[in-house]
Amino acid sequence: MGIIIAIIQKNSKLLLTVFLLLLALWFTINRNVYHSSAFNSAFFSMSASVSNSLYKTFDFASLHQRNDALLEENKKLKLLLFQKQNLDSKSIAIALDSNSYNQTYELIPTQVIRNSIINQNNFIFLDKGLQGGIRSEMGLISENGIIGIVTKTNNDYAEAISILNSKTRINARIKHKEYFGTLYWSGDDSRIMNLSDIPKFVSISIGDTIETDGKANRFPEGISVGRISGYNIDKKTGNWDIFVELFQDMSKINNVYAVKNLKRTIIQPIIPKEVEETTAADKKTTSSDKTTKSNSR
Amino acid sequence: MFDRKLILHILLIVVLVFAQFFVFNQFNIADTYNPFVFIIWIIFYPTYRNEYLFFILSFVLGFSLDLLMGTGGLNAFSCVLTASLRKYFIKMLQGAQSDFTTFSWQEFNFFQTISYVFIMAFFFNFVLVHLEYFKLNSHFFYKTLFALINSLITTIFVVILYYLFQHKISD
Repeated sequence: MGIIIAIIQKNSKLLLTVFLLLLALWFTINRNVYHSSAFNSAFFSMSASVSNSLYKTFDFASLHQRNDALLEENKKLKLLLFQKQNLDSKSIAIALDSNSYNQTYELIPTQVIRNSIINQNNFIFLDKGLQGGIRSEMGLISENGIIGIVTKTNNDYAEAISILNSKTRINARIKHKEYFGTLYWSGDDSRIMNLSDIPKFVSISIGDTIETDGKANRFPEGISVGRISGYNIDKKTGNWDIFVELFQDMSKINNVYAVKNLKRTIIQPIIPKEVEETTAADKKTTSSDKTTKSNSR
Repeated sequence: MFDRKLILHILLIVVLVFAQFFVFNQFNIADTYNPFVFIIWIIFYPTYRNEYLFFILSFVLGFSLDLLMGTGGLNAFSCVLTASLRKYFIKMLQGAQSDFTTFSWQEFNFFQTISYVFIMAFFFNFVLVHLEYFKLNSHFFYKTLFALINSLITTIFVVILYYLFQHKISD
C-alpha cells in the first residue's frame, strides 16, 4: 500500500495532467449530450443575446453590401412579376401559391446574427424565435440556395445547424432527372458539398444543377443548391460521389428565409400515430405471450 | 500557493477569456484565421509558481472559452497539453541546466522569446486543429498549414502584448 502511495506521490503532476486531459476529451466527445442538457439551454440564450448585441454593433459596416444584395433580389422578383402580368391572372395565383409542385409554403424573413464556416460543426443563430413564428425543424433558404435547418428555439432567438455541418443530411436531386441522393458535407471546403447515393448508371456531367427534392418537407421542391464540379465512384457503395459547388457563399449570409410548410401539420401526426400503434400492438402481443406462457406453466 | 497574486491571475484569466471571445474571435483575418491571444497566460505564467495550480487554471481557462464557444472541451484539452509540455520547450531554448525556481522571462533574448512564443502557439494550434478534425487523411497537410499560419498570426499578437506589458508579466 505504501508503495502505491509513493508511486502516486511521485507521479502526481503527470496524473493530474492526464486526468485533466481525459476530462477535456470527455467533454469534447460528449458534446451533443452536453448540448441537450438544461444547463446548456441557459448558455444558449446567453450566447444568443451576446451574439445579437455583437451583430448590432458590427452591423453598420456591412449595410451597404446588404442593400446591394437586396436590390439585386428585388430586381429579380420584379422581373418575374412583370413576366407573369403578361399572362392571365390565373397563372399568377398559381405561381404565388407555388401549387405547381402541389406544396404550400410560407416564408418568414429573418437575419443571421452569428455564423461560422471554420469548424467541423457549424451553427447559425437567427434574430427571431418562437414569437417570430420560427419553429424547430424548419428549413432555411436564401436567394441563392439552402442554408440550414432550425434545431433549437426560445422566445427571441433560434439556432440552426448550417449545411456546413458534419451531421447535415439533405435530400437533393439532379435537375431534370428523377434520381435523388443525400447531400452532406465532408468538412474540408466551405464551398463544396458532396452528393451520394446516385446510381453509377445515371449519366452526369460537370455543370449540371443540383436542386432540392421536396421529399423531407423542409424545403420546397426545386430550389437550386449548386452545380456539379467533379465526381468519382465511391469504392464502398459503387455509387457516384459527386462534388457540388454551392451557389451560395456561406461566409456571406445575412438575410435568410425560414420555410414554413403549411401542410406539415397535416403530414406529421400520421407518422407517430402509426409508430405508436405498432409499438402498442407489439406490447399487447408480448404481454399476451407472457400471459400464455404463465398459463402454460 | 494561495496568495494575493492568485486572485490577480484568476482576474487575468477572466479578462483574457472575454477579450478572446468578444474581440479576437471577431478578427476573421482572410475570413479564416483568428489569433488565439488568450494562450499568452499559459506562455508567460511564472515558472517558480505552483505547477498543480498552473495545470488546473489552464484547464479552467480553456474550458471557460469552450463554454462560450460551444466547442465541448477542445480548447481545454489543447491548453492542458500545451501547459504540461511547456517546461520542455523552455529547456530546449534555455539549455538543460536551467533552474525553474529562479528562472525569469527577462533571461530570454528577443530571438529566444519569439521562438518560444511561436513554438507554444504552433503546438497549441496543431493540437486544437487536429483534435477537431479527428481524421488522418490527405487533408492532414492542409490542416497543419492552417495551424502554422494561425500560429504565426498568434505569435505577432502575443509578442506585441508581451513587450507592451513586460514589466507586469514578469511575476
